[in-house]
Amino acid sequence: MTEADFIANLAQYERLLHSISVTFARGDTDAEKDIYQEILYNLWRYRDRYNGDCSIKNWFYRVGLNTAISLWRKDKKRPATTPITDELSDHLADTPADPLRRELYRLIDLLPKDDQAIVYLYIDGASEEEMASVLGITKTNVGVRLHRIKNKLKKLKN
Amino acid sequence: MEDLLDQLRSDSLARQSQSPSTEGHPSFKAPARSQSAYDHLRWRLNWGLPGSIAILAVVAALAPLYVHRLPYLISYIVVLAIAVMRVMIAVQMFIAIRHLDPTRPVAEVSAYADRMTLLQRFNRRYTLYIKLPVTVCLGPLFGPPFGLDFFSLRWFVIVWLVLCAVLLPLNAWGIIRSFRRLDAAIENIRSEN
Repeated sequence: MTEADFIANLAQYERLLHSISVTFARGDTDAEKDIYQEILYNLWRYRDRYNGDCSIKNWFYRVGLNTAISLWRKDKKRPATTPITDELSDHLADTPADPLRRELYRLIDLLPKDDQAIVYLYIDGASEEEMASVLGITKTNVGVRLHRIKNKLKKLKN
Repeated sequence: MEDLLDQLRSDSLARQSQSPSTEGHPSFKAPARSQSAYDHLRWRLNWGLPGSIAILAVVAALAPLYVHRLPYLISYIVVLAIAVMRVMIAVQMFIAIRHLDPTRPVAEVSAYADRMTLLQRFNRRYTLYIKLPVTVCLGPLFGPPFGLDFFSLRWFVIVWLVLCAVLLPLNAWGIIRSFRRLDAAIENIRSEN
């Protein structure tokens, strides 16, 4: 991928990178900037490894989610006191955050990071094919895992 | 909750269809940093493997000093086993770190990252419960070939040996079980595709 292609793709999918950063920063604006910077760095560093086995968008998703999850693993000891709420809501939807939505994001924050990645892709409007390509699992498995996650959320709520 | 998730997805899709993509990205500048989060770890682990092989080679080279009396031979075999174990851990880490590539599918990277975490945990326990105590308690047996006499510490040695004998199988059993679960998860991902 040439530098010009990279910049053009970045312009197209910048919103996607921001929403990953917001999702995994748990409301911490400094962490959000760190995640965004690290994702950008990894995208730039590995840009020549893009071999066309998936779409550019999915490749951005992969690098973004892998980077965010790896940073979260490193930073696990930090207490998760601020759930992702208003910022993600404002980012993903035009309407202001309501209590039900806040509750949903609080519950999502309790899920393992891999499951959060699937929920993130789902909310972000990724198709099952896209999710399968980003995660490296089959479409059927995506459906099964989504179903399980929804059940988990229901249980957590009750 | 399920309806709300679907609602958020619909909102997001609607927003994406409305927002036009912009041309160019004037604020972007190529990052100047030379290391990412994994680079340092990768460097350390890449050197961990040759380092542990070198230790194994040194231990193996000491063999002639210990084969002539049974107690020395036993202690030598234990130390050799520890060195072999270290090489095995280093090999596993070497394999796992190769898969921690952010361009690979998320589920695969995640599975190997879990494996990596387990290996690091095992390595810490192995050092604390096995490597350090065994090294200390075998000191008296390693001394004589070099003209040293540590046998006045024999009770200390016996206590440590008993501790090691209990802790080693417990640790080994835990780690083998964890690896089996992870291998099954990785295999599942592969077979699904």
